[in-house]
Amino acid sequence: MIKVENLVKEYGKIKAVDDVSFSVEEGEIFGLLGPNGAGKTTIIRILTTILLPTKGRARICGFDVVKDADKVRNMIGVAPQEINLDRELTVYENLMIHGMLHRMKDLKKRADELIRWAGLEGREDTIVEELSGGMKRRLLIARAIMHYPKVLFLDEPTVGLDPQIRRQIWDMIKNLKDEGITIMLTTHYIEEAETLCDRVGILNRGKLIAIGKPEELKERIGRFVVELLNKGKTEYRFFPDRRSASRFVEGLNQDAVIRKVNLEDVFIKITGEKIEE
Amino acid sequence: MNFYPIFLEDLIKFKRLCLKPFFITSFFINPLLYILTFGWGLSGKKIVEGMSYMEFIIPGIIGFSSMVNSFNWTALSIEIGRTTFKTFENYVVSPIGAKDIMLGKVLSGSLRGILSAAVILVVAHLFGIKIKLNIFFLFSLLLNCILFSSIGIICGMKSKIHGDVFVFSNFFITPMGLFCGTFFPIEFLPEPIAKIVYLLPLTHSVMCMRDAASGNLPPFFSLFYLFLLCSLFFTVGIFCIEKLSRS
Amino acid sequence: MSFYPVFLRELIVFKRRLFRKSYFISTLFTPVLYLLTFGLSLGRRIQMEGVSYLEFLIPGLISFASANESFKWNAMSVSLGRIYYKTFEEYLVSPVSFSSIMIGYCLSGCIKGLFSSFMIMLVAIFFGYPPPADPLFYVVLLLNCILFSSLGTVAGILAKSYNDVFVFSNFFIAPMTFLCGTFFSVKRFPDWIKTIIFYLPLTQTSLALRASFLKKEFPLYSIPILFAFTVFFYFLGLFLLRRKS
Repeated sequence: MIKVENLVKEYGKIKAVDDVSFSVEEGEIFGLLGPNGAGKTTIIRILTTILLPTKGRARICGFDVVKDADKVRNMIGVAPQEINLDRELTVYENLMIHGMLHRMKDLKKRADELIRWAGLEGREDTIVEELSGGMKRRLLIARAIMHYPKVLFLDEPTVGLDPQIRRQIWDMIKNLKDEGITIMLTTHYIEEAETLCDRVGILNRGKLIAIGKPEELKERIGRFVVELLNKGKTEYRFFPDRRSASRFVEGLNQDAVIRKVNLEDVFIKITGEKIEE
Repeated sequence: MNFYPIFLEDLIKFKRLCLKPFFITSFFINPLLYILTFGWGLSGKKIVEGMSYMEFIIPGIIGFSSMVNSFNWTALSIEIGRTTFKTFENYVVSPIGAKDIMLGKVLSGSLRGILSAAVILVVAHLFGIKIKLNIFFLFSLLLNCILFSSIGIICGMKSKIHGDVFVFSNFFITPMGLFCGTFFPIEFLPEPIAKIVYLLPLTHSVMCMRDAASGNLPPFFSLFYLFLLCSLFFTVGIFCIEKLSRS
Repeated sequence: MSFYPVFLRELIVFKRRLFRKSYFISTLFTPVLYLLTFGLSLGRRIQMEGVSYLEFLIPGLISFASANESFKWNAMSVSLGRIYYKTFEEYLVSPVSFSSIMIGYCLSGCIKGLFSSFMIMLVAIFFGYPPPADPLFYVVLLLNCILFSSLGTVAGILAKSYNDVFVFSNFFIAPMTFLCGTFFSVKRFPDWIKTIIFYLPLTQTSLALRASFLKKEFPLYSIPILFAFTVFFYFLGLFLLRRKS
């Protein structure tokens, strides 16, 4: 469905995207996980035909994002990180204009359906500016799928939202997968990547440092991790099972925490840095 | 019909703005002030042959106002859509083409320009000035609006940061509005300056509208020149949208 | 000296914007544009109040520019600082007294008004009209700038949204700057309007500046009238500042 080959994006001497390759199968949810500035948004912008790559190729449903941009645009839906809804229009008008831009028929039916799906009934005639952050995000995603795209791109879909709203949106996204849409999202929230994604690519400073199913990635470094504080810095030790982890902790004469490994640990193991502050 | 959603969007926003009472009034405060200050304040002075100064400046003010309104609407909506709110990306990622974006925006810009002209005509009527709204007048007005809407799009696309359009407007649009035969015949200017001003499009729109308004035939060279510039800027606009919508 | 940080901040922003993309130079140029436009075309062709229109217009435009720029800048800066950038609150919670804040704003508004006026005087030199030597001219000019920057501060404090500033300047300031003896003689108005207009501050300024510029008899009554308005707006601003916190 999505095929990225040796993608590079340079701004002067800075490589925002450094030789990234991956592919996404039809119907799966693929996530790009990484800290802010890792290059996730840049990759999405290239795939959604808004940005031109410096080198490399990317294809969506077989169409090249540079040469066949108009064909690509027919098939994708985008919910970018900035909520670029039209603030001066109502919920319904935003959906309607979007549908018209995509030359849709039966706009009203689809718009009503999506308003219900996004939990925005009663708000059809509310000006977007007056909606809460969570409602805006839900509308943004609804608008992105208005025209039945084959591939949906979500750039940081829950950034800045409360935990409950975040879970609502996760449910919406999982819902979409059942309808057969291929989804690619970017995030810097570990729990989001672990909960939603079938496969995850971990990005740091423009480079793809690991890719695979979340469980597989974690298994590579061990199932359990011990966190200990050493001279003011947290150190991590990885173990394949709980027993070896406990034995290690017993042998220490300081406080330590044992927990299950998560994707951030994968990131830390490879890069020595943390993703989330 | 692909341009229609873009035009419709602007139309909805405009209708909503019109419901705010002060908006309509701000539409004509500036032209009204010009008419009062120069048309009325300087009336009685013999400035041009054959007509009162007020009669002289009304087509000029119509040209000025329609230019400013058409330009400002397209340039600012594109600039803000590209820099601040990122809503311009919505157009880029959809299957419609640059031609449609251009057409939709130019139409809504021209609509604004024409409406501002209509408001001035009403005000002029209150001052007793009657303008003959014949086909030549309307055609010149339309060309003026299309021309400056197109220039507005080019400006909006080329702007790198919010505020660039404002600078361009202050250095080119406003001076053009003041110099191009709007408040005085360009013959009043020193010759080298008059020659440069003669090349500017607003000079010709105003000339055509002024002639048409008093029942004469406008100079066909001017109409042709305007038409040529319209086509030129419209095409350049499409080109700008295509090339500059992807970085 | 505690007004100084407020004054300094406004000045830094002014300087930075001045050189950044000529953003604000462009607005300061508009009065000069009017001078060039009407000066070059109508300036020597028609007369007003017995002198060439050019001679009539120059002091009028100086009044126009000083009022407009002093008002606009302050109104915008104060209202934006309060509503969007919340930088205004910084001043309120600092140990600076309200008078200092007010003085700081007024002075910085003045600088903009004076800057714009000096640009007109510069262009006037090229038309053959050197700046006047009369000290009263500059007294009136300064008073006008302080008056309108205080008014601008008041407008900025009272504004509930940026729209309000826009509406106020469109419906009060703009008409005043065009109709109060700046571009044409107030004698044009019917008597009853003339009496009202006479007492508007900008009318006094343009009458006084013009008299001084044209070396005619200076209307000494304008100074106390302008002074009264200035004091009124200044203390109104101070009062509102106190109330707002």
